Amino acid sequence: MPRAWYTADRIRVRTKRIGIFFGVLVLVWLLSHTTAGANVFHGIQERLYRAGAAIGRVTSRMFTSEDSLSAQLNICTNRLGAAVAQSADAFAYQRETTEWRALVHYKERTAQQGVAAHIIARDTPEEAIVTINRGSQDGIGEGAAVVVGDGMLFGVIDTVTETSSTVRLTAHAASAIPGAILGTETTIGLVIGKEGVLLSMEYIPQSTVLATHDIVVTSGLGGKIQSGIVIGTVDDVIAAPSAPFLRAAIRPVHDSRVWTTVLVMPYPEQGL
Amino acid sequence: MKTGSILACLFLLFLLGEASFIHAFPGILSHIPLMTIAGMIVMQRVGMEEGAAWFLALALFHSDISALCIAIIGPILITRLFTTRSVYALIGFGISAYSAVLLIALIFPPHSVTAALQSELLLLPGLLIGISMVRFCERSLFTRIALRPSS
Repeated sequence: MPRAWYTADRIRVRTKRIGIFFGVLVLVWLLSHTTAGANVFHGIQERLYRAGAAIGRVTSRMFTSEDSLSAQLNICTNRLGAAVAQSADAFAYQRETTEWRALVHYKERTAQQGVAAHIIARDTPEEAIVTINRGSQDGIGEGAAVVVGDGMLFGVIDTVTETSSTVRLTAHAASAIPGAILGTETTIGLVIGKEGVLLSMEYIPQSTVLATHDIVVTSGLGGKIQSGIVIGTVDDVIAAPSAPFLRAAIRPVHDSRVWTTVLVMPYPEQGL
Repeated sequence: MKTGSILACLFLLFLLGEASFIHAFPGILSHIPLMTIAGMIVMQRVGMEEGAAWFLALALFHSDISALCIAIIGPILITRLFTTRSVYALIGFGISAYSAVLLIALIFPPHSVTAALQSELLLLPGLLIGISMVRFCERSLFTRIALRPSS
């Protein structure tokens, strides 16, 4: 009899405890769907993310000597990224002088009206998806381009809730962005994410003249991403005689892990 | 009431910590399975029902089949194989449960086997550090007062 009483009491206590556990979780989940609740959570997540990223940067410095070859390579890579972005800007300004009317309109609709957002969570590097603290309330829509720094493509909006969105990075296996060579407007291929550092540009017609270090930008095909956002540089061109298309390895101009703030661009045809 | 609320708060804290703090770390450190480590310690130290609830909630939040797998096989392992509350039992439980997760990663293609292996590599030191922290907390005066059963 005491044993049965003990078992019944134990079951009652455990059931109550698990009920409270799930009750609190459901309550918090419901709260997180209100604007005030979401803001609180995003604030906490933003601070945690910044702390994690700062620790990551410090750790990288601890294990990388300033004099080592890898440190020098990193510096050169960063300088290359900056130079590529600057040359992209210079070309954009050149076009501005010749087609000023169209480009002033373009700037009004795009670069000036983006929505700044903070990265608040990140999936594991293999999944290449991050969460930002802006959502449909801020006018963000699926497929919009997300840029960092001086106009370098970070990724594309994947899913949107009222107060947050997920960004599919360019390195994501499902990412396919129409690309062009800087200075042309014709789409020459699709830039696809691959496991590893490099991206891959597929379906390039055999007649295309492509050289290493050419700058690859978005072509604007599809209507959701502006043209001229820098994706990377051509690292290698792979041509198989029997294949109908060329393939190129694209080196991104930035490291996606170092950014904490991004700019979500509006759709070219409507704006945010 | 108290234990349930504390567990829920810890669950949320670790959930935010893993998604926003741990995943921002560089390289392999971003694979530290914080929620799994905490869940396993809860399952061994607090109770298998609470641990199963932890992994069930994790499976619901992340739509993760591997957490559901641990929620199912965890109580069986705890009651049949690793019955003591020793560190060795916890390590054994961790390895066994995570082997099942690896199996799931191999069977279901979207799951990354490399990521699962890296997580398993970090699981053991994580469990050791975690259990040391739990033991320290259990000995501290504050915890003894906070978790004292109400008479």
